[in-house]
Amino acid sequence: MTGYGPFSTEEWIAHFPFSKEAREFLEQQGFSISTFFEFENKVVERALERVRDAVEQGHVLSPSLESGFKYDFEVETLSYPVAIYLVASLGNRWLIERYASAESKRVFACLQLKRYPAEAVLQLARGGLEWKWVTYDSVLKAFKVPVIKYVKYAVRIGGPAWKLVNQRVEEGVVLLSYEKFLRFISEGVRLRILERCSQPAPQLETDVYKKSIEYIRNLLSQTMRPIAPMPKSVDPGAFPPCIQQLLRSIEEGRHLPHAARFFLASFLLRVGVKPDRVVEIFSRLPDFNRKRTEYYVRHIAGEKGGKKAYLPYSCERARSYGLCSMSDVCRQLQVQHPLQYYIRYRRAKRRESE
Amino acid sequence: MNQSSLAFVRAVFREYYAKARLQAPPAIETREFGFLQFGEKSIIRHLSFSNIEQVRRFAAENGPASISYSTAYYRYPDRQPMVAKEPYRFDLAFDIDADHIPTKCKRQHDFWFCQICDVRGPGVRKKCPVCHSEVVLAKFVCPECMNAAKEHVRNLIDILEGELGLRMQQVQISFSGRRGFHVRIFDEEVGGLTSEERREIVDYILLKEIEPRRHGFAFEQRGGKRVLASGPAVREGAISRRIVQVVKRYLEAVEKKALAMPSFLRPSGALLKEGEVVWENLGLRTYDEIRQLIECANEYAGVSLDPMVTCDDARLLRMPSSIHGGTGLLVTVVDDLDQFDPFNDPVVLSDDPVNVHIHYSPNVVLRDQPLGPFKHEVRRLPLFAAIYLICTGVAEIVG
Repeated sequence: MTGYGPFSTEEWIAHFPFSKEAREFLEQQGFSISTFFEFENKVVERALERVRDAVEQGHVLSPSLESGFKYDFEVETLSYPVAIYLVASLGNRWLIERYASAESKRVFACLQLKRYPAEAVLQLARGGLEWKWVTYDSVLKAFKVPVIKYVKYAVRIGGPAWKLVNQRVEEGVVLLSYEKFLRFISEGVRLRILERCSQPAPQLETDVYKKSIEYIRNLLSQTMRPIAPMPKSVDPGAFPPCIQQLLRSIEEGRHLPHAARFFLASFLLRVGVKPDRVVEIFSRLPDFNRKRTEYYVRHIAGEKGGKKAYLPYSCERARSYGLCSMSDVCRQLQVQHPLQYYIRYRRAKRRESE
Repeated sequence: MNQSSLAFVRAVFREYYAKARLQAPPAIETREFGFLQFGEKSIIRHLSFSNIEQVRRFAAENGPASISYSTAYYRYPDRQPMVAKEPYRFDLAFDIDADHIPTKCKRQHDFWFCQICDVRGPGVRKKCPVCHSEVVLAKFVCPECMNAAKEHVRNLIDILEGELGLRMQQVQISFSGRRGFHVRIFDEEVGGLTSEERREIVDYILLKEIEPRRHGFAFEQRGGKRVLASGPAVREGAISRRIVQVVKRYLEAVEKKALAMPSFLRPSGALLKEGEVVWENLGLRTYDEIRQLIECANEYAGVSLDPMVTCDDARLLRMPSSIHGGTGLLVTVVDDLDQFDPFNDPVVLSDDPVNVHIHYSPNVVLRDQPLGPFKHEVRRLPLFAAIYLICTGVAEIVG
């Protein structure tokens, strides 16, 4: 890690514990994660701090970014895989998503603040995330990402600014500015952590491990509130299967893509759930941001922006976003719109009870 | 179609499949098959076959109006419900239909008619204006609309290959048997795209949900009026180039009155000057209107396709080498799009003469033989032509 300007390898490794340099450092240490749980030490302590930041604030703070704050780069680096081990071994979906999102925000903040040279950022993507397909064009001053790869990550970030149709595309590659590429990398970090946590890590028998798990469980019970209930005028039993599926996903703490959030919010608003309640339901999302969600929900409700209240997608459109659960009940009811399902289902139920 | 026509057509189709050499889709054992029987409204789905000979035998027994197979590859193609099939890969498929391209010829060859009161009229209508019973919709094609469809296929291929850089060795273009073309890409990397990701590709092709500001569109205040001062700069990449190109061709057609003036255009001078779009003269007032212009222009001069076919995970598409129940024409793999003649190459049925009663039919040319126009007459026609008219709904078998 030389030749990229005035920053040390240690700082780099501490910022980006998934980088190639960090991996090499970890290999040199030749440790196995379980050894850290044999006695109390600073690495486990810092790992728990990472998890706590993630759970409580949704953002892992970087001591390496605070000026004048002394940090131990070894502890900083080693605590990353240890934290992932803890999160994976608990297997709580919300925690996994929340942690992945919080670490990716930390990486984004580091990249934004430090403004490393493009070559270094490229190296982080190619070496750290193993994105061999990324290149940098120093003439155009842009990162080049093959279209199919771009789409994979960009749909997860979502929003008009990331739509393929709004990018500069040339001969099979999307050209991304330095600024945008930083966000793109952080999404890569998020997906990489998710992938690593999808394999449950084996439980250990040591006291330190048990205490750590207990600590995280405690954190979760304080932070994860039950999903906000529906108002009485609304009948969640009559929600179409696609909407029920999305609510279940939220309950399980899963991350929802942009289109899914729009679909769910617009449906709930239409059946009479108040915007504030919709925001409460969304507060369970692992990457929840109250201000942004409030704005967004009020916008869909027609209280902001164009003053136009949005309808949820039709079944056909929902299917094209992969949001349809393709249920036989829908086919029997011959519905073309999720609201139609809600109305027909309620009517049928009312008739039955009469 | 009356009962004797139905029996006749079914027998002809059975006979075709008794001797047909069908082409197996890649990984046939992973595909879900669907068959539509003549006279039925819904497809028999969830069928699976381990080889093409089984498909042929099934078709020879039933004489189906359509054979289609899934764009998805499933672990268990015959299981129900859909999720139990466990899809693991998808062909990237596109459906381009001449029906959706706004060509002028449609008013000349598409019409409705009422079998009861013997009234007919151009265009599309659901119920008879006299007796209010359901009408028969007869949609025909002509070289003009098929050429437009071909042009759209070429544009699509250019985008896929030139702009998106997809490997095109594994692409298959097929004539759908009636009014359009299917394009399938069997590539493994593309096969990993989810429906949401395929939606991005579709929106890219259709120029949907564009943020005009990102492409150089800008409004200015001039004399208290909001005027569109600029459009995309061509050097800003492939999308900008494409926007300019389709808008130009669209405005040319509007100027020549080949297309009606859309409501969002309020011209205040020439729309085009020396082949360039004069943005400030278009009278566009909002970003939404810019989006409308771009989408309409793309539908006419770019690529018009059915987004659902591409995005839907559970989609079935007609199998090449089967015959289309709406025309009796072969669903044909097209190797050379320029040379392909949709009124000749897919005509595979024999020319044995049969008698048909024709309610009404415009002029159609099949296998270089001009047919019609006919009106209330009994004719002795070659089998392929008789089937074409019966299947289109304008004729019935006699005797």
